[in-house]
Amino acid sequence: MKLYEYQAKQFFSQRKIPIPEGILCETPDDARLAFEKLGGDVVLKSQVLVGGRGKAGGIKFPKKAAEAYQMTSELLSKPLKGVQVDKVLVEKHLDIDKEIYIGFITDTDHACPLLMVSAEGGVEIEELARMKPDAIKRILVDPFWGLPGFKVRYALKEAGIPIPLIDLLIRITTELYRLYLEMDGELIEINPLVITREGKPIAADAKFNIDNNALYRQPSAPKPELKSIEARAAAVQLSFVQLDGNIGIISNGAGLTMATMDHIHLEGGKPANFLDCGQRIMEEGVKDSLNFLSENPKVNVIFINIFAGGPRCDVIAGKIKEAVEELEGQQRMTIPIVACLQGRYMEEGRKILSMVKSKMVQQADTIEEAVKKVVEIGAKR
Amino acid sequence: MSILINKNTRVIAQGITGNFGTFHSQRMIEYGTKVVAGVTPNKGGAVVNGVPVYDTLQEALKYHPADATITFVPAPFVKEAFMEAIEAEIKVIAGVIEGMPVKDMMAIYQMLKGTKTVLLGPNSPGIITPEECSMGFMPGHVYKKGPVGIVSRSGTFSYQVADAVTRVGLGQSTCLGIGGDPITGVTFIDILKLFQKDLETKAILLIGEIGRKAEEDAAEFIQSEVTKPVVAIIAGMSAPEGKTMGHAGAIITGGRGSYASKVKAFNRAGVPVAKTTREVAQLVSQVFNKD
Repeated sequence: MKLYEYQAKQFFSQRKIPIPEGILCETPDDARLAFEKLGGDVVLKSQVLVGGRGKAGGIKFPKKAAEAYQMTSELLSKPLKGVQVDKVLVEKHLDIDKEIYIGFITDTDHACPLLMVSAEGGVEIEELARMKPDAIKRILVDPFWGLPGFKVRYALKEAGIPIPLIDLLIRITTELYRLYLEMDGELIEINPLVITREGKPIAADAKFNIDNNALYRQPSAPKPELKSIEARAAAVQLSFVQLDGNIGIISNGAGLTMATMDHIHLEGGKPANFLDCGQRIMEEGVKDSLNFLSENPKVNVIFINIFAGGPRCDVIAGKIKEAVEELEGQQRMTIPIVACLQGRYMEEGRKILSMVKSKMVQQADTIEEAVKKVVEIGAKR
Repeated sequence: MSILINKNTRVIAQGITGNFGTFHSQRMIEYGTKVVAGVTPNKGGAVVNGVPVYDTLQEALKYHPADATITFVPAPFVKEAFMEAIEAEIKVIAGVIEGMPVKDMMAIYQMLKGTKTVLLGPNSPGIITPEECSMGFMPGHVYKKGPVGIVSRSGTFSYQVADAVTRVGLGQSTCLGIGGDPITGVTFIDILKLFQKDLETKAILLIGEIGRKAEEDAAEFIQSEVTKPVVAIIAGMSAPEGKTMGHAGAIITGGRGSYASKVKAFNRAGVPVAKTTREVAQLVSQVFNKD
């Protein structure tokens, strides 16, 4: 789960990692008051979870209180990179001398945390890694050793951080690591860590992602928002990714769902989504999935591709039949479905599907045949 | 022969008393797998599917020597279950559970170093040596004994591929999943080594996925160390960058883990990469028709 900047900064602040003075605002009026409270000279930052916020116009520098009002009203009224902005963080402007990067990510190749430091903060780390790989100092953290101060000192010195700053930054880096570790972080990042003209380090921006699998043991983590279709699907244990084509996909297993997308792609079709029902295929997974797919006006045909290993095709077919007939009863069954069932109790499953009372459902024996049909129907409608 | 498990393998099911554990251990027994005991804390003395249950793995092993465990325990307790099995020097652990916190797996990965334990997963479909032993979710009826070794990052997709291989008239020596999570106990390379040594395995089929660099590492290893024919298929050709495709490990970031990079690595190693299930089965069958 990705945290918003303001949420990450709350955690920073609890660990005494300095953050700019700031006020979280939800209305233009809030922003006007915040402008005055902070004594002018502020920056308005849209709270969104997409990268490249500044370039997309999500950061503003008002000169007057009325401008703070006006600009906030604009930020809140239009989506930024397709995402609705609900909150704007108003922060005191920093007098910047240097910008540093400090971050930890889980290095999955070595199965341990990785510390990254650079004296050239301020740009996205991926970009810096491409342009100037040597400007980033990387240190793998042995989970049993932890992160001793000398290792951080070494990393900071190697990265070219000025000597007078090093002790201050060791403390911040160590706190950042503790936060990452204790909160089951996947990534934690201060970029930039601003060094002001008075020589004070302040976390100007913050990124913090927490492992979804560990949320059950992180009571202080914010509740996940159910804004996006992906998040709403995840809340009912469906793994969903929105794509931009017209062919809706319902499948079971991440690999098979990807392979289904690939097959459609090879036949010249365009998937509208990735949707892995997982274990819920034996329950109401298909019904929920059909509802999610019906939210997307681009979807004009649906492909249900199932390979039943543990689950049984007859049970799955029964669930599909129920879902389709319910939609039919509500006169909502408007998108044609092609289903391909394979695996355990395949014959029984196919028989059940052939009894579905709807003209909108057809079956295919093989994935090849199914994909051809789906792409054809999608192109015609 | 086969790799890791065979008809003599004795299996203990960790977490046998839950719905999930009871259902799948029953299917394993029906397949002919020797499930000798189960473990669930505070359920010692119970009997599930005719199998005696113990509170700890140590106790179970005292009365029922075993080589392998399968872990059906819920994700928050998987770390402990793995530790218990590693401590007991179990040879093969089928880590079939989904949703294990990555931090827990980081610790397990370190604990595995220097041991002889092979941990499949987490988030693995398990392992099957057809007509001998099944530890996991694989649908037994699609597999047949034969010369093809299958190693996969996916679950369901690997069943479909195995099914296609069986349909072209070729059986399998052993099929297994290394797991769909960002960190797994075994890698493709560990399994390729075993297939290379196994006399029954005449060809290897590798089922990869976008994300991570397991396939690139495998390709490099194949080029230098594997003399048996290898064919591959990679799921996620059409996946966009920056989105997690179901498996936490299946994500392309900053161009890393892309489909193109994996195909390139395999091609360099002389491994043909199929685009569809049918095509990969044909590629395997060509390996045998050449002789």
